[in-house]
Amino acid sequence: MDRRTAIRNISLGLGGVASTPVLLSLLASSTANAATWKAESFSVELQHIVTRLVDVILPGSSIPGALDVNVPQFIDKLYGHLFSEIDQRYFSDGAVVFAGKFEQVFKHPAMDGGREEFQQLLKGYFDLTEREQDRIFAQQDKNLADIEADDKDIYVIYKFLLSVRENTLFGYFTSERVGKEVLNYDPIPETYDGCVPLADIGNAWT
Amino acid sequence: MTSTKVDPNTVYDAIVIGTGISGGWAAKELCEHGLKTLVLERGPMVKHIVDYPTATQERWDLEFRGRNTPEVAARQEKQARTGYVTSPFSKHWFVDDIKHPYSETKRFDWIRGYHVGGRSLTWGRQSYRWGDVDFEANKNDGHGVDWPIRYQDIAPWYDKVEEFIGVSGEKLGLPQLPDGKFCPPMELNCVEKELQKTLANEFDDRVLTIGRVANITGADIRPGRMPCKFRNRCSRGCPYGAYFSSNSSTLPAAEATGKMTMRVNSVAREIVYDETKGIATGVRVIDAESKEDFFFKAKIIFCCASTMPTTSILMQSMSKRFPNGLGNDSGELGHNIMDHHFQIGAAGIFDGHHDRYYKGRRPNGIYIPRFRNLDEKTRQKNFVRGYGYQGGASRTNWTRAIREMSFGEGLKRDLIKPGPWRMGLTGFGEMLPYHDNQITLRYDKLDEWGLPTIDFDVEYKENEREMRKDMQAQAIVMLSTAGFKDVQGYDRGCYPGLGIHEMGTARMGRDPETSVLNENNQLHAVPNVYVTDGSCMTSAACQNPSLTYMAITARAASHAAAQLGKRSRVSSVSETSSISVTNTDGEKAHG
Repeated sequence: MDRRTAIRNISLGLGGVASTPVLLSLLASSTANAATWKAESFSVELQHIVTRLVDVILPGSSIPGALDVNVPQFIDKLYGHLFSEIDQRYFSDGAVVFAGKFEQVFKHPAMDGGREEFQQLLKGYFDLTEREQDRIFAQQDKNLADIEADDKDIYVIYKFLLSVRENTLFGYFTSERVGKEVLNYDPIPETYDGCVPLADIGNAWT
Repeated sequence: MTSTKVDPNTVYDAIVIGTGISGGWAAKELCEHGLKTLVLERGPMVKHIVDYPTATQERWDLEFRGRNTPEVAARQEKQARTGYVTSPFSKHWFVDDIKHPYSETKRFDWIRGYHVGGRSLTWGRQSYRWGDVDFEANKNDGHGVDWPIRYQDIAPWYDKVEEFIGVSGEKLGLPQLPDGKFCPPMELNCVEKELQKTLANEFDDRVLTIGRVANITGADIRPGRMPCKFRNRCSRGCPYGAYFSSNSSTLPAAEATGKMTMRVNSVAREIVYDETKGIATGVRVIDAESKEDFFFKAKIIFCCASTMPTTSILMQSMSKRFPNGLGNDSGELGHNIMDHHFQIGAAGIFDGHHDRYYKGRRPNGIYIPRFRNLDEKTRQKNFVRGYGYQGGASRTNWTRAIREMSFGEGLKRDLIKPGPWRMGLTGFGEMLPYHDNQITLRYDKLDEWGLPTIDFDVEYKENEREMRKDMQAQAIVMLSTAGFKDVQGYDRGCYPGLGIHEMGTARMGRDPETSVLNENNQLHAVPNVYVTDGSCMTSAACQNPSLTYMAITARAASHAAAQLGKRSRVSSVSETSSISVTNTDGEKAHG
């Protein structure tokens, strides 16, 4: 897929830029706990991990990112009220295994992890060939009971990461600010025109 | 609309049970013919506009942006089989499955709305006439019994209904999908036009047209209703009254006559039969809230409670003369259940028109009318009857990236742009009437009003299964021929009920020994009881049925009014283009 390739290139590009001293200092200043809000359901650690991942998945720029529209708060709320018990368990178990991996790789707790570290780790899990991705998605479609013992950690890590990713997209694209300021909001269109130049519209409709 | 106290000593000219698509039409027609009419609704009042709580909400106005908590979802597990009606934007229009239980010897997806307006608030609004190929089908291939009416019997009533409700669409001149009185058609988008062109050039038996939909377009407005604003929020209730519902249209028209009395929270329990007179004398009702019993009297009764409830009420109406349910001399009551079968077709990506988009949210899709088994040339070896396709093209949105692992600034910038054009075709196929597809009443499992609950024993059979193969194959052929890429056929499986077109349990027919209703929708043996909702249907055709229910109801109401000796206030069908009603009070024409 074209977009996948393009995204991989962008990720690599950012990796290069991130080694400049200026960015490193920025990152250093942001390695502190990312929380400025009190979670309803998440532990402090889970809140930190989810916040970092959400920021990596849809970062801010001249276009608002997921943190700008309070996506971590939204996922905390979904986790507490909307997830089934089994989904809650996958999510929290997956986060624990993921945090263990983090500590193994970076030699310090995920709680102290900065954005760059989370990006690097997420890239390890998400920057796969299409074939590898298909294998993971096929595994995700199964029940935990049908997963080989050796694969269980990987299974729950992806349950967690893919849930964070999907709910980041969901929370971002259904937020009022993105709906009204980023996408094209037209609550009362009045007419339907079936074929107009995209250039006249711009971004996708809300 | 208001709900009022009803005096049990009053003898009404007519009682209408139900306020949905059929009940609204019965109420309007009977009232406009000057009949003093009591309209019963089992659920609560829903007033046009003021009772549409979600009509202008956006996702971000809802705590979970349109998803349900597990606790909320648990109340509507069966309604949720549709995959769409239990969205927080429309879930209040569908029943609580725990409060309204039923059982399934075989799976049946029974999707219900118990409130004023019924499912007319949430219907798909696709409005297609049936042709003689449909009314003659049973006679010609021997399935079921012959319809006692033909297209010419109902054509003027289709005219009347379309002119009142407003149907936007395009004339095609096809005998299997007769043209109607249309408001201007909605526009096809660029990719739909590509497929339309391909069908015109490469196939000699198929056409693609814009859906015929009960949304007003153009300058042709109706009282209290405005043209479609292209918000595509119809199923929440439209504050502009742009689509047809009982709430926006027929019930206000009925109320305007001053002849209608409506009582909500009124669960019809049985129709009372007077053996000495040989007619029904009224309806026993349970107040849904107080559980009190009432008996309301009337000269004629219209059953419009929707297919299954109407049939249940008739089955519950047992007497010495009718031990198996009112008017059930034939034993066909509760049998011959039909729906449509769908959830099958194909979809593909159109690699072109990248620089094109659309403006507005069109509450409508495309339609490909039936092209199988219309004549010798189109005769199929493996199945009888036919199917049509609904569908449409659009550019994908952010959800296209859900099953991916992409992330970062590039993903965000990509997803705020429209994605590739995707077009899907879903077949809607005819289901045959089978005697053994039936409901029974369970007196061992009562609901909270002490009434028996329904058990469903309904299935698709060989003809439907064979037809489905062709439905998928032809969808693939058409999209592939038009140059779509990644064309994938699909079959999501389908259980009866999911089409929300359940029908056939009190069929019309020529012979009282094999049918429940005559050509005017009267019970053969109880002429002052009319049944005009989906239960009256003798075959299912492949078109969406609501327009036909409305036309049949209007026709039957006119018959009932004439029988009652009231002079019609709308003097004849040929003048139905005028929906205003003259103010001459009804008087008895023939004593």
